Amino acid sequence: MKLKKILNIRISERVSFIILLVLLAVLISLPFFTPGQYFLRTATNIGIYAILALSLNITTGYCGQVSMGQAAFMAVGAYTFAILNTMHGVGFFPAAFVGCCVAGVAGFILGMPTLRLSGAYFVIATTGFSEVIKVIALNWKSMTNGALGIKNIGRPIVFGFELTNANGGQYYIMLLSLAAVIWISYAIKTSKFGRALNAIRNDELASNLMGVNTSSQKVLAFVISAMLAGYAGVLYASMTRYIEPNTFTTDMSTIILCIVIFGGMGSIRGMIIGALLLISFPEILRFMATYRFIVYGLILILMMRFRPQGMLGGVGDKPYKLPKGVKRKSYEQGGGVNGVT
Amino acid sequence: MKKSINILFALLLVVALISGCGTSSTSGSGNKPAEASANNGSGNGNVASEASQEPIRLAHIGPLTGNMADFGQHALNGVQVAVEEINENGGVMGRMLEVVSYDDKNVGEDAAAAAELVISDSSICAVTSAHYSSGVAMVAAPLYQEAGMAAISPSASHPEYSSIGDYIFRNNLTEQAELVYAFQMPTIVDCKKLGIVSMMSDFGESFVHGFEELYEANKDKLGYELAVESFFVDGTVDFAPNVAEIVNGDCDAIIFVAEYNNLAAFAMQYRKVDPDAQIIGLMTCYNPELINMAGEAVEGMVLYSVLNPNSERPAVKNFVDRYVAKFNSQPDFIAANAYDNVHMIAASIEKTGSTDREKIKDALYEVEVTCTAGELKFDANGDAEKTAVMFKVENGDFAEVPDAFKLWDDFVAGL
Amino acid sequence: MPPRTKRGAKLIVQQIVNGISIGFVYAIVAVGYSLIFGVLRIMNMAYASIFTVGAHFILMFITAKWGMVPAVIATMALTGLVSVFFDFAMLAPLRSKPGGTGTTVLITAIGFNYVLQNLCMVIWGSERKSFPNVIDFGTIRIAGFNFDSTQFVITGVSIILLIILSWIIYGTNTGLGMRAVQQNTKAANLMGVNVKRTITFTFFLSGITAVIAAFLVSSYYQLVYPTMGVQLGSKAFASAVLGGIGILHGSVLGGLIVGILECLSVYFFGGGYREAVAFIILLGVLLVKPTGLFGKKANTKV
Repeated sequence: MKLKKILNIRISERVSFIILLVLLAVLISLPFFTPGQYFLRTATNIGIYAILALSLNITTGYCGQVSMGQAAFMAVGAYTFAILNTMHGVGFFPAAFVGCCVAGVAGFILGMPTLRLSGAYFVIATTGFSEVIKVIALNWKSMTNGALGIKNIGRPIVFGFELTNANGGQYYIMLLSLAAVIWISYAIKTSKFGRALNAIRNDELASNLMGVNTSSQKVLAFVISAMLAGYAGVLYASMTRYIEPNTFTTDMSTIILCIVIFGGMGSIRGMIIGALLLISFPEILRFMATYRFIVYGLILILMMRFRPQGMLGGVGDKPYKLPKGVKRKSYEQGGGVNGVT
Repeated sequence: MKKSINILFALLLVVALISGCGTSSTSGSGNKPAEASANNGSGNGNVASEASQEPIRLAHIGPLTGNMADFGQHALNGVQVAVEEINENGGVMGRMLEVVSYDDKNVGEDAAAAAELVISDSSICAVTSAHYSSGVAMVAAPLYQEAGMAAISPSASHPEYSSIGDYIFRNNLTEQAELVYAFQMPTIVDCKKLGIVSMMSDFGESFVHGFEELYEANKDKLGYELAVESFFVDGTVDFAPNVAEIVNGDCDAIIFVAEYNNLAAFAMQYRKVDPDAQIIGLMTCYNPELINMAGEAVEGMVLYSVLNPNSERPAVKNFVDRYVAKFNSQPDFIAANAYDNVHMIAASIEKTGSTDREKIKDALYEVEVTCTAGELKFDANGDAEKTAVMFKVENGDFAEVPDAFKLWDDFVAGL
Repeated sequence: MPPRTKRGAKLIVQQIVNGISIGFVYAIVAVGYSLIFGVLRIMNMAYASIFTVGAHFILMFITAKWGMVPAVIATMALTGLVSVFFDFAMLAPLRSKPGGTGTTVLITAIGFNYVLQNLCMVIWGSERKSFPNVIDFGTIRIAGFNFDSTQFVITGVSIILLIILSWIIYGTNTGLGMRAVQQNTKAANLMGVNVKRTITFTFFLSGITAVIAAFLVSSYYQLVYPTMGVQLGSKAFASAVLGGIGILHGSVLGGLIVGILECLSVYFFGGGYREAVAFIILLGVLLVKPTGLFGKKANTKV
């Protein structure tokens, strides 16, 4: 009986591992057998949205603060990168780094005063922030070229070799970035910081009383989230090569939120699969393209109604596992919460 | 439960990947609107001998939904009229023309995605109508250039659009050319104090900048003063502050730099306050919808367009008659430009005898076609020379004001 | 540097007048937000799209050759139903679930807002459509400033609406029930208030308010389009928060302040900053006094 159990576990883990390897192999070799650039571009787009979802996951999934500000941080990161790259000749990687940092600063500026607000107020504040960023981009003509936008944004140059969509380079940069962001998310999740965020999400007052400095942790999560979103903005700008104030819309923030909710708040796998399904379905089911946003809205509603933890989320909400030897009594039998007296 | 969900999603992933592969290789079936399957034509028999010949496919990408949906739709209409006409006359090299249409919603991201889709489809040999606004077109243009596929825009005005590359063509007034006409209008209407009301868009900002430069250069000779410049952002419906600025500056005429849908709202609010003001519009205001929406408010306004639907020229008459017969409404500039684009591409294909994308591009620089724009030819940069005609809104219709514009040098000399 | 224009006191005053008109437009929409929050303590993020749907319904009836009055009445019924449906199908089930109601309700409302707005786009098209103005009695010039008669009607209706709503809430038994539900739902239930019916009534009332606002706004600008709720909704929301969300007269004052500041921003900075004014005000209010101008310092954390 015991042996079978062990074998079972081994098999399912082995199966997952093999699936993962196959997936990785497919992903890495994708540019070589895809039928066209369109496919690569869509894949890159999915990857960028996955990174965005992972970034929002840190604020919303781990920490429980619903934010509609990712598009704004994308914009900050993208514009900083584009300005440095096109107007000052800075290379991709240094400019991207600065872009992330500036986005982080923006996150700090927004987060510090607003994170003490609850739920709806915070959402509105982040939406408002998006609007303010857009207005700044439109009016600060000397920096951002106003409505004319910034064009001919450069692409990463590695050892003198320009990485474009055509040669698959952009796809690989995206893949590497995605791997890095996954690693960062996982590191946060399993760290003390991640546990603090989880505590804040579950009950902020209690965690405050238990010694968690809720404000600073929330702000830190928000800043990291902003930096990652800023990086995604850099990738996006490098892919489309032209940005203008209207590029980063509230629709984008809504889609990112939808991916996070659908995939499951807190689940890294959920973010990626969510991004894959939600971004690719308008391309695959072209006849649905006009109803695309209705579907996103419906997903939000239905998820909240029937499965608020998302498709793959809620893994961390399993009941507390009792150590060996402790018997479980039900509540009626006189047991307390979770069967432990 | 967790395990089965995992496996389910892994399967979904694989399915998504495979079906994604699948759809892009079966050459893009395009959106619900628009397969101009005009290859039944009038059942002429000369197709029979080449029955195995596949149709020549061209792409139309433009906004079919969203604020600028009218422009994308009209461009598509123009393309369809041309395709039908060519197919009725036997097609190109004996093969029928076919148009595939994509909606870019006038958004850069969608435009680029549609562009990639079209580029990957090897059966499409050229883009006959590429996008609507310059900003969006310029996101997609580098893609066409890199991939080596000719794309003609029927509406871009950005000065640097065609210089993106030799595969990028523009069949529309360049901004410089538009300024030549727009600058003459205040003098023509005897304005004394001019106001400019402009949207903060790529076109608006660069147009106003150009206008200011011309104004500064010719200030002392002009009979009017540029008194007020008032801006608004896209999506504005409440123009009260702008109207207040204009009226406060005692302007008797204003130039409105934005599309017809914004003008409709603005004109209604402006005319309530100042019923006698002269409104000057640009080409993008030429749309019968404008009169439907604004009614009395735009009565008496002046504007210009490259298409004169009442022209006696046979090419124009032919186009207008066909368009009205098919769509029961008058065409506008973008329909005419798109129509011309198809003819240019068709002529290029005939000239090189092949549908190779590069050869089509080379030939586009060489052909000269008689169409609604007159004798149309692309210059070395990929731009075309166009002339515009002035119109005035009278009794709810666009009436031509003949011989209103002069050549630039004559105009300046006559100031 | 702001674009060239003739400056002067006359223009400032005209902009303030414009601001007051726009302000009442915001006020009349803001009242809807306040109503729901005032009773249920939730932000009805879907209000903007209910407003949009109302406008489209009126237009639909008018295009079908109904008169304006029957069209508006029919729309009130229809939109009230939509609003009630929103509560019944989406919010009520969440109320019975334990935990995390704040976020789930919020996200559901955002989702529904999106769905409704895009349904309008799909069903009726995304372009702007013309709407007749039956409350237009011409422009009135008083002391050299331009006033639109429609603006007077809007102002008048806002004030009347405010009075009627206040009377309902403070002068009727149903209103008493609403106030009871806001303070403590369980206790209200115990005291015999039919909580479900009260909530349904509140949503229906908010739907009617949305239609009145939609009618006035559509008549004023003579345009109807699917995104009309987006900008207006956000600014109205900012107005409601500024005045103290949940407090009806606060919404009106908030709307006026937002409107005036917005138009003055055009005077001082040009038209480019207009859209951000409402949000800057909102951010400011949230930082300094989240309960708004008229709000009382509550014990519950905002």
